[in-house]
Amino acid sequence: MKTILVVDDSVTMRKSIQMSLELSGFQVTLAADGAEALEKLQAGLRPDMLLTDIMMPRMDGLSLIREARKLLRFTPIVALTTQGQREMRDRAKLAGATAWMIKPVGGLELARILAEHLGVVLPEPGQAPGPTPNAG
Amino acid sequence: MPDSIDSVARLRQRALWTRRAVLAGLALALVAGHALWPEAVPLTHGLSLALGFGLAMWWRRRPDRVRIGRTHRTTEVVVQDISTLRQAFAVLKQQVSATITTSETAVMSMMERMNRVHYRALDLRTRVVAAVERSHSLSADSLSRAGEHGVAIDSLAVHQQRFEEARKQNQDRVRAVADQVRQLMPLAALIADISRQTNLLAINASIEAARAGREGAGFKVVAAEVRRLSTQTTEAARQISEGITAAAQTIDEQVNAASQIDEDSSAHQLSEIAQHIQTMSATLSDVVPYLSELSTNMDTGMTEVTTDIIDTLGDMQFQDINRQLLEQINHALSSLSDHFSQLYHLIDGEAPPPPVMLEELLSLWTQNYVMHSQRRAHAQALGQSIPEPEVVRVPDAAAANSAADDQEARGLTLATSHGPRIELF
Repeated sequence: MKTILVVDDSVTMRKSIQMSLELSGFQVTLAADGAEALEKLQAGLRPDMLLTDIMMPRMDGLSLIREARKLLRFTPIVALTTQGQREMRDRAKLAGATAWMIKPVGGLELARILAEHLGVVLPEPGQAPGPTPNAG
Repeated sequence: MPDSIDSVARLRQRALWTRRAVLAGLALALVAGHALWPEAVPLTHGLSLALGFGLAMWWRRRPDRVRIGRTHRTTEVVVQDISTLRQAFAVLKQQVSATITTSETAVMSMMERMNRVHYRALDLRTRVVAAVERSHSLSADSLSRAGEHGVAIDSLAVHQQRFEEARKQNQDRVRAVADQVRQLMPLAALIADISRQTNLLAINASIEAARAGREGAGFKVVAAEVRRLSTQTTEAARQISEGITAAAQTIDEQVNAASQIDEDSSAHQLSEIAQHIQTMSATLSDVVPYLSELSTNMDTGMTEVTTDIIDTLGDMQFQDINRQLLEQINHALSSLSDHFSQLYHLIDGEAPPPPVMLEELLSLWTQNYVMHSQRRAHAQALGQSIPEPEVVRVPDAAAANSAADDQEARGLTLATSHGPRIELF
């Protein structure tokens, strides 16, 4: 099962992407900003893909992409953001990003694009167990 | 407009400092003159001038309130309201923040509920699939057993058929025996007839013995004995006849009873049981494909439920976009608050005019707009022409196009797209 490190300062985005990807058959690790993600990478986390927002507190997505690329030489790094400016895309590409997606990207659409980017075949929806629900 | 206000303010400041420099220079010159020529230049002149300069500086430091309207009262009202505006903006910002928090909590709750729905559906599917598999196994087992039972019943039916045939043969034999027994009846009649004739003979012998007198006394005894034997023989013939009749009747009753049983024969019942087993087998055969179909439908339903949940989760990304929109409104409120604070200080004479006029501030807000709906709302509020949405299509991605159509339909078209929505570098 492929692991994706999801970085976003919005708790709803983190939860939404986590559930979508886990229901689609991915394993997901979360970070609330670039600094937390970088700490996890420096601690030895080696995901199969890094999916990051751009506008974040403490460390933004562009800085994270730049720093993460030093640790993850061949790992796909995808930006998922509301920003669409060409200049911002070019900076991300220069920093080492491999794809740019503008929110919102639907749950299944996101999973399929990431699977294609990773070169994996996903199981049919409903076959993966998904995240563990909270009690209540 | 801002340039003209700035230039006027700058000119006023320059004139003020020029006056201050001239007065300070004159005071210093008088003090220096007194030091060189005490008689010619009295110290009081320099000190008076320095004191006057000091007083002038103090006076200039006092707020030079700009008068608004015709009366001081108007100025006071405007100044008081502008000073309260900061609090009003703070309240609005707080409300916006509360809205962000509320929507965030609601969306999180919805996502958790959807997750639970998915888990319950998954659990239900697991149970149904397990039940289907169990039923499948039971059906196959039952079918196998039904087959075995069918074979056993067939075997029993064959045995029963043979038994029935044997029984019928036995009945026929018994009927033959009864007939043979009935055929003994003439013999009994013959014995009775012989007995009767013997009796007549004994009577005649007795008569002849009586005629013979004394010489016939012995013969008379014999004749009496013969007659007694004849009577016994008659009784024996009667009993034989009754015995034959009773035996034949009993045999007939048994044969008739056996014939009655024949009508509800076990072979018939066995045939019915075999028929029931066949019906059960046919029903079970119908159940097996139904169970397979149920299992397939359950999988299909689960896939559809999960697809809907995943897509709904994707739709919930709009909460994040709304959060960013509300944060932009908060940012705009902050800039308005700062602007009016600067105006307040300007009116009080404590600060120069704001660096940016409100009109320019409004246009600066558009730089942060992400959605076309924001640009449209901005233009509508200002009575400007509504800009065309800038929809960016991905040439070879039908899915991305349909997603863009969805967004357009919901009025959430991106305002500042400068490339495809999804771009693989």
